[in-house]
Amino acid sequence: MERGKDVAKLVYTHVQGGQFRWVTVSTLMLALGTILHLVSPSVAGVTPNWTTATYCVAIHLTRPTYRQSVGIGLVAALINVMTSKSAFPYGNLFSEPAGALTCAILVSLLGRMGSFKLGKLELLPFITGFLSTVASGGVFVTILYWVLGLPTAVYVNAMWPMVLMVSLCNGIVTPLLYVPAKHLFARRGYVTDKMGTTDSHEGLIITPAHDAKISIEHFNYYYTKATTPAIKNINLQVNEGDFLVVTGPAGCGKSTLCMAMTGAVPKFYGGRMEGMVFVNGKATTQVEIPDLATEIGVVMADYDTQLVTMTVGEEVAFAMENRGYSPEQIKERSAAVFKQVGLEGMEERKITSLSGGQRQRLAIASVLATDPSILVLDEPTSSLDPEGTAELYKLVGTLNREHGITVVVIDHDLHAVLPYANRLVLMVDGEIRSDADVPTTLRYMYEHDIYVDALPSIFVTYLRLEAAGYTFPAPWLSVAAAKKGLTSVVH
Amino acid sequence: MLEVKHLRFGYVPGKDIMKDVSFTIGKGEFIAVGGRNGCGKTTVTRLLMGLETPVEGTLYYKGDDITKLSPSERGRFIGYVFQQPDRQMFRPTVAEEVAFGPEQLGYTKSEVKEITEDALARTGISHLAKSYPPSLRRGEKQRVAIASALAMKSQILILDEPTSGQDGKETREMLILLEELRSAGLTIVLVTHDMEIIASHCTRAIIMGYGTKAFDGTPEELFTKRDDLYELGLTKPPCVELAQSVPGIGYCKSMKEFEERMMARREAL
Amino acid sequence: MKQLVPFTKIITTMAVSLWAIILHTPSELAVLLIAELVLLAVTGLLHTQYKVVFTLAVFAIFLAVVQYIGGGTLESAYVTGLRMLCMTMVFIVLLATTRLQDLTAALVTQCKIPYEYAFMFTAALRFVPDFITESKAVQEAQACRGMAMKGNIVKRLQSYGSVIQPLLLKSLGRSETMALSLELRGFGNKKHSFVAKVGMRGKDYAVVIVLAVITVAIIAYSRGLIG
Repeated sequence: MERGKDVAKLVYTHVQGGQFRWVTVSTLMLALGTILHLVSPSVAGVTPNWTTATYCVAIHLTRPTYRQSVGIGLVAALINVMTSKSAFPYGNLFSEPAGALTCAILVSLLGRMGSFKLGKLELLPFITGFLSTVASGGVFVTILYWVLGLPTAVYVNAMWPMVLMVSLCNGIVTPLLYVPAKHLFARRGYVTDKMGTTDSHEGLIITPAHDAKISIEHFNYYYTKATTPAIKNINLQVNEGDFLVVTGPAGCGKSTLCMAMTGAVPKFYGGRMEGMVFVNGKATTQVEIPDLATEIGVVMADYDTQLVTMTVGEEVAFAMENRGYSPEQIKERSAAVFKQVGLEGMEERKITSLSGGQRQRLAIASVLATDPSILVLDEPTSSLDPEGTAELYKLVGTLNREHGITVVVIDHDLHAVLPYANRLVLMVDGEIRSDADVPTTLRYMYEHDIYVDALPSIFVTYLRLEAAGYTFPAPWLSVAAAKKGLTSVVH
Repeated sequence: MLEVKHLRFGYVPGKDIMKDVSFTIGKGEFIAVGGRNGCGKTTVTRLLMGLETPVEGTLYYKGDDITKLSPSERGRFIGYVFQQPDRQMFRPTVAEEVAFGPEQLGYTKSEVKEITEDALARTGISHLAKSYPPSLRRGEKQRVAIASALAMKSQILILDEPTSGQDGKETREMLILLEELRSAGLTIVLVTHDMEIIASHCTRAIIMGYGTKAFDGTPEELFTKRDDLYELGLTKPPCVELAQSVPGIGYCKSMKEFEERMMARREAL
Repeated sequence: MKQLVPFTKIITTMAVSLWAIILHTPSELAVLLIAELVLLAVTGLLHTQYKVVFTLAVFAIFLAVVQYIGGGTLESAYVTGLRMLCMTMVFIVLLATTRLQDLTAALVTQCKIPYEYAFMFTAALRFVPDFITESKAVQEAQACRGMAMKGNIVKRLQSYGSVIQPLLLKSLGRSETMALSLELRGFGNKKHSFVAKVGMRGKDYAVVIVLAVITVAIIAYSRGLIG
């Protein structure tokens, strides 16, 4: 075991991680393929096989292994059977894995030979779309032929031409789906090239300088291939029971900071970090993301995508099932979490029947399942109306005050969250400009003209009237406080 | 310009969401449509656009009966900007995205180019013409959606909660843009929850409630004369509440106005 | 039917399909079909799933007709249609009486399918209704911009493209958040437990034994050893 190094001198690099992209992209693409049948155009009664087209695109984008591709095909078949789109389940259960495997083989063999281009058109997706459908269609009709004993004439003269026509349709639609998808992936930086180094801090003794729930010390962060840091030398301590709000203009790094607390920066997003982030005394580079997640729960802005099961009860149980908790433990924790969040009696409700606000509650509940002592919410109100926002913060405030959960919220809708907060941190350009109680930071923002549009209008008026000579007993953090202040001045 | 007479609508036959709704929308108005969730504030704008068909009632545009027209036909004079702008974006650049509408309407290539450039200029996003729409910020995406509607040469622009989820700066800039468009002759219809916007920017408020049109008048009337604001799902904006607790100040439509009057009061003392 | 665990129903489905393959005269297959219809009626499924039954019947008749036109005998046409119907109708019992979470638990613990794939199956089904809502919203948005689903084939293809592509882009944009969320929630762990209880019980073993006996009987019958 190496002696602990000076935290400020620590450096840690990680390649872009994310081992489940093939799972999520395939899942979403197969769901898309299922509904495309509903909006699909048809030429003379022949429709493309959207299922095959969508998993071809998924395989192109994420390059899974052969085994994984066969699995994707199997899942596609199961979905078709389940949604009654399969005329002959046994056919699909063999044909779709065959199609997926064909696609994977073609992608790995031909992809290695560089890209085929006919002018500006990429030929590879056309080839894979066509051949994969030939493979899956061919296996399907062959199984029908064998099992049902159809005449050979029908097999050769009617079924195979059908297969070829559908394959041609697929050859056309697959590039139409793949090209915009690839463009999006490239622009968003989801393309993983596993180049680069990954450090390891195994065996090092790293201790935090502060005894706090979250201690961020001398933290700098550079995204992969970035020359300027996204986060510059941040020092921040979050104490037990705090309700901390982090705000700042777009691009200031507040989401990155939030991701650093969970270990996703740098392990998932890739990049280089200096300094360290400690959660409950442990260095985030020395703990795996799932283990850290049992202590710090995070609900991201797009909470809908975090919900991946069919019913409310299953969703809350998900994180626990994954970690191998016993069914009794799961039942117990689920009941406790439902009570905390106010979703009792809704275990059997389907997620798709819930409203936006209820879904967000469910996301919070599923994160609380592993009993973390810290809850982080990244821009939770971006898709809520004022009523929903008020209810959300009421819930979070209750979790903080009555259940002792330390809360970190990233938001720019300050007037709704400030009544519950005890600290407000302002970030600009990757640095912390102010870290103090709410009125102090608000005043700082006003006096330095930073991000003033986020200031609650009431507070700005309060400062301006004070500057004009009025004196009020207390700062205006709410309409009620303002009215009290005014009545004392007017009478 | 746009006249609505005795509209009645419900999703389930027999269960009406609204009935006997009538109003007229003129040129250059800035109308807020508000009300409790589920009272039909978004539904009534969808009826205007043709996304829903009324059970009873008629709609007229410049005297012509448009009740049976489809949304794509109404797109020529009414533009609808949805709450989530990225639901409609799929072209590789902003310019091509905005060009989609005029292309559908059948304009020639050069006309489309002209219309697109004009729409981008009016919404202040000419510098984003070659940008990739999914990578834009929410406020910018909203502008692209507005430009797309303007490119259809609409006279009336309906926006469904355009400022929800945006920070103060984007909201402020959006309202400046809408005010600019209004003074250039467009009619703006805004479905919103934001009481401050209703008070400070709108010339007229239509509030849906009690199964029909509950209020149609100026924001000042709404916030000072009505005492059933809570039942309608509304609250007084801070500027109105604070102004009411200082005798003699009068009705203030924004915090800025309130500050100015308070400071003038200070001078007077 | 609801009292049997999913694994038993899976075995039943495979057994019935096996019988449908072994039996090869119309009268034998008709007997099997009637047995299945009786099962459906008794479990109340015939009433609720009649649409699916009807669709399958139509497809079976279609195949039988194709068989006949393609040069087969009338008898072979009956065999084709009946066999197809026997093999597919039995799936209705499996799918309509099993809860999805029980089915996935059975697939993983008893059919030895790795958990990742069972997860993908349920997660995709969870997103399907959301995508349907989304596609309607996209259609509306594009309609307001003048898109009409009419015109020649090229125009219609363009219109569909304007609905399909935003859906595609939106769904891909979510894949990244979902991937991170899965890691945070411990996905991919070797030690996976299930709340659903799907272990075989007395009744299940009884049913399996009965199925085995019938299968042996049918094989013997088809070899001419009985009847």
